[in-house]
Amino acid sequence: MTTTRRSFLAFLAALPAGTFAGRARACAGVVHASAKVHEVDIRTFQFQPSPLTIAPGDTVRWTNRDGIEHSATAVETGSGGKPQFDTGLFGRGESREVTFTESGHHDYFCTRHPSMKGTVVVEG
Amino acid sequence: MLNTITIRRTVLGGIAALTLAVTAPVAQADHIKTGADLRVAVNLLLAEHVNLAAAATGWAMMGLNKNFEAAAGGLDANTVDLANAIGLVYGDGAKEAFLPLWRKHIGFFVDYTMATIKQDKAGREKAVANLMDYARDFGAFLNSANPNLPADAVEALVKEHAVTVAAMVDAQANQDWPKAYELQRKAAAHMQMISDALAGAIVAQFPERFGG
Ligand SMILES: [Cu+2]
Repeated sequence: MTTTRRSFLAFLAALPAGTFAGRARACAGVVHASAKVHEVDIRTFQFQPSPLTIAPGDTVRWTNRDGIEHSATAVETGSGGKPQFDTGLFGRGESREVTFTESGHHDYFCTRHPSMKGTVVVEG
Repeated sequence: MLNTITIRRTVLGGIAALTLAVTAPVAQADHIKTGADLRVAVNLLLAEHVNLAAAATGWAMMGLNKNFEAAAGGLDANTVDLANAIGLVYGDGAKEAFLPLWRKHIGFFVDYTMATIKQDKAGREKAVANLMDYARDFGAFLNSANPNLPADAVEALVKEHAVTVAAMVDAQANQDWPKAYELQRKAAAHMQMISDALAGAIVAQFPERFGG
């Protein structure tokens, strides 16, 4: 099983200052000491569970159970038109992780199967 | 004379009642109780899929848009019935996942038909490539829902479906109607390979539910 950890926090840090100024107020900006990893299975072309509610600083780990590549790709784009997070396509038995620091609804989809949709809700 | 009319009315009433019973949605939960019900329902729906697709592409080829749209509407109603059958077995999540996936391959057939009408060689090739690629997705979907269905086998069946229907569209484009109908019947009959495999795999997966 391959696990690639991609930090949403690191991604945000790489963005020009002010990119998320409007949403910064909604974000507690506090990374809890007890940050958790939440599992999302991708099975029969569905993200399960969805919506998934987590705390700021928590990580979501998607594991693909289907015999075809899927991705978890943010609907919202940041600077340069790139998705706010993107696991890229990954195959059966593989996992990808994203750490969320920003409060709010994070809708995502699969780039190969755009009808596959999921939501991570960051509350706190 | 009066008696004749009365009898005639009764017979017609009987036929009307029979017609109503036959046209009730076959994929409704209360119509599918046994493995045999399931096999009949899936076979009817998948053969109908081919026949309505053939009607739609045939009308499109003739440039009769109203007829094409009506046939496409019937084809989508068939898609919804198929999705309901999937939902009956695997739940609403699988139903919602199946619906856009199935519609996608119909979209590729429409692309193929439109490209053929425009004599757009690249468009035709792209539609075929998309259909071949799609076969992998559909194999993965069914295998994920039911491990008794090997992804490779489903993929091969979907590819054959695509190739046969594409050949039928070519015959329609050439106005070679005897060949078009021969290929339509071949494509409809081929669906039985998928229908029987699917129904059998579901019965094997849920013997207590459909084994009767
Ligand atoms: Cu996908």
